[in-house]
Order: sequence, then structure tokens, then C-alpha cells
Amino acid sequence: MYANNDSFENGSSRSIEYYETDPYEYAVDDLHDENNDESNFDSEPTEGMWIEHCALNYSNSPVTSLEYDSNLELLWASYGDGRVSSFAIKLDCMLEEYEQPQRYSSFTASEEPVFQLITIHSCILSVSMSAIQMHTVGGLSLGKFSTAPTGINEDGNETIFSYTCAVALRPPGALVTADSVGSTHILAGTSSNFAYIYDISVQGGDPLMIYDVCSPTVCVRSSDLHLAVAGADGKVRLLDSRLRSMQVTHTFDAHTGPVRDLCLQPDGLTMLTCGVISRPVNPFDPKSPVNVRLPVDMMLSFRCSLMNLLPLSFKRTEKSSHVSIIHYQYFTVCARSVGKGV
Amino acid sequence: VPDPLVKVFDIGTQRQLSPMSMSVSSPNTLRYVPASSRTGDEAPSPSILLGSTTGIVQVCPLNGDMINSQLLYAPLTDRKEMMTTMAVSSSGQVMCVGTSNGGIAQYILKMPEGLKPKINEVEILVAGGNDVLCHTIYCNEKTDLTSVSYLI
Repeated sequence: MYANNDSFENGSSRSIEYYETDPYEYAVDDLHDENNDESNFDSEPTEGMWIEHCALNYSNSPVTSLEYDSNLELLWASYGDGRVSSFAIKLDCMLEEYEQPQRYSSFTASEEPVFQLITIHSCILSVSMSAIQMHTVGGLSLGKFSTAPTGINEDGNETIFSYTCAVALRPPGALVTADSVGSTHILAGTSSNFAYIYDISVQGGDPLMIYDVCSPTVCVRSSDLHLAVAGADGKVRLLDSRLRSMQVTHTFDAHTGPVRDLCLQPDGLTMLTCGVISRPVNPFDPKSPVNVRLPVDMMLSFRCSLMNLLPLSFKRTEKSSHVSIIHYQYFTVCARSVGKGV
Repeated sequence: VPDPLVKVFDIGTQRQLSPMSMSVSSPNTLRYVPASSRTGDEAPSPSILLGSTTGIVQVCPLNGDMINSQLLYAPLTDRKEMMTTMAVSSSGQVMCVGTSNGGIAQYILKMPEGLKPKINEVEILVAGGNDVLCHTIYCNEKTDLTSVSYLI
């Protein structure tokens, strides 16, 4: 473990801690312990590791979305008050060190919270509940790209659904031409059971395609081969990224509760999801479910994640809490041994 | 209750693989970190960032070396502040996290010594008489061009 004291842009200085291997050695509450002095850390950051570079504090509203624009070397940030800011990132090629990002532009993109940013060439799309706004990099408004679709809700009344997320699609030739081509379509998820495909070149037009995804969309991601739509029902549905079909190609049962986030590897072969368990799990509550998965299970599965070992589960007994704690502490000791290379 | 497991699916075979998990918290955000555009045996491999609302970011390499996963802590100012989002640059060398108080913390990948850029560097050799001029152009993501010339 080691620390790195960096001076931040706003003048404050914080001690950043890094743990190389075993996080169980330190409690989570220590994250906010400001009494960790530098004397506790005896080594410099090793190579090939992430170190904190700088902090940017320009707003008091929550940061809702961050996006790197590789075309223009910008970091885009959207905030809960509808403001969108961009920061120029420069790399000193001779020293091969990143300079302090400078604010490049800042503008109000929407009166609603902007919760998704999509960078396309020379434009930025900001997704809010009622519309997708289009702006230039400098902040000049180019109008609404699209407005939230209307439909029939469960009560049979016509209502306006809200956008929840969106992602830019790579064009069909992207496998051959790699990164040299820009995005041509946008997949937008809504609070309804439908997801919509828009053509970027058609501003304010109707959706090009409509997918029935059977659940309100929480998150969408795209890769070369697939479009993944994560739903509030805990399922992830795959669509054809070439837009050759309006059918869901496959459905994965990911979580029992809503999916929180989704990650598709660029090769399109592996997908990772995180989500919510719909039932309460509390091993110390006698009224909790019979089969309880304890944190030790997760630790074990993490250590052996690539060995095809199933996580352990514990049968609940009258003394389950006591047994659980013993196993928990026992495995924590094991984890420390592994972390130190023993 | 947040699911502490990160489900991993093989899309090709449409099967679920062994899950991953964060060591000390439940993940809320997932981001893919591409392999850094450097050459060398010690060049970082692709990895996955598991972010939690508590401000913990766990870097899990995808080459199976889970023991050497790294934990980063977003600089949260108080216990009410949460980490809300993350982003990773396409080069895999810069990442940032955003918090509920409007703060953004940027992290860079400290590279091992001796690794040289694999892309964005072009050498032009110009032969004239008995001299050869080597003109090296460093290109930073299509925007910044820096050139160095020297005689061989």
C-alpha cells in the first residue's frame, strides 16, 4: 500500500491510497479516514498501475456522464443541472506526460438532467428524459435531434415515454475500416418496452427501427457484432448491430433485479453485467431466505474467477450467523496469504 | 440489494462463465480498458474497471492475473458523496470518475520504463549525399503533431 499526495486544481490536497492486492486488510471505513499519513506508506507506485493525475471541480451538481472524445482529445462531462462541459486533454509528446486538463467549453444543454453523452464527429449529443439535444463542440445549439416517443402505457392511455440511455452504433463497415469511420446510427432506450434506432443524418425524424425489448431499458451498449440492451427486469437482450433484423437475437438472464450497467468487450465475444438482487439477503436476519450467499462466496469466486469453480453457498442453520463469521474470517486470512504471494 | 457478482457471459456460446466480484463492495459501473498502445512484454493487458458507489474502483486484468488487481479510491469528500460514473479513453491510458458532488478525478496509467508507443509515431528517413536525416513525427490522437529531426 502506498499513497500519493497530489495538489488539486482547487488548491486542496488529498491523500490517495492504493492497495495492490488484498483489500480485506483494510476496512471500507478507512476510505474516508483523513488521518492516514504518509508514514504508513513505504513504496512508490509501481509501473503499470493507475495513479491519480488531477481533479476537476467546476460544479456542485452530480456528474451524470463522462465521455472521452478521441477525435478531439476532449473529456466531456454532463451534470445533473443540465450543464455539459468539455475539458481539453493534452499529452506532452516529448515528456510523455499528460498536462492538466483545461476547460474547453461549458454550456447548458438541457433544462433537465443530462444523463448520457454521445460524441460524434464535431457534435455532441446530450440525452435527457424528454429529448436528445445536439450541440457543437463549442456549445452552439443545433436543435433537438429527437424527442421522446409517445405510446400507450399499461393503463391504455397515451403517454410520453422518457429516454433512459443511448449509444452510438458503428456502421456496418466498421469491421473492415476499423476506427476510420464515424457512427451512423443511435440506439436509444426508453422507459417503455421499446428501443429505438435513429439515423444520425436525419435530425428530428422518426425512428428508423423499433425493437420490442419487453422491458424498460436501463443501459445499452454496442460492439462490432452486437447491441446489448439491459432491462429493468434483469435480462440482457442482444440485437443485431448490422440492423438486419428487428428481432431480439438472444436473451441472457443476468440478474434477478434490474441491471445496473453493462460492458461489452470490443470483440463482441464477452459481456459483463452488474445489477441488483431483487430479494433481501441478510445472513444475520433470521427471517432472510434459506440459502444465503455470503460475501465469502464472492471473494472465493473472485480469486478463482477463471477456473470454472462455482461459488460456495451455505445452508442456513440456527447458528448460521456464527458459522458465517468464522468462515468469513478464515477466508480473509487465506486471502491475505494469497495477496502476499505466499 | 446490490448484486456483488459481476456476471460474465460468453456471447459466442451463449453461456454464463464464472462470475467476478469486487473485493469490498458491490459494483455499480463497468468499463472496459483496452490494452495500452505500447509495446513490450510488460505492457498492460486489457482489463475491466469495476466501480462502486462507495468510490472504490477495482482494476481487474483480463489475462487471469486476478491477484494483481488494483484498487483505486475516488476522492470523495464526505460519506454522502457517491461515485456516479466512469469513463476510459480509447487509448486505455486515461480514465476518470465522477462523483455526486460534481467532482471529476482523472487517473493515468503509469507505464513501465522502456515501453515505447506502438502507434502515433512515424519515422521518415531522408537520404542526401552521405547523410541520412531521420524525421520522427509524434502524433497525438490526430490533433497534436510534434516532430524531431536528427542526423544518423
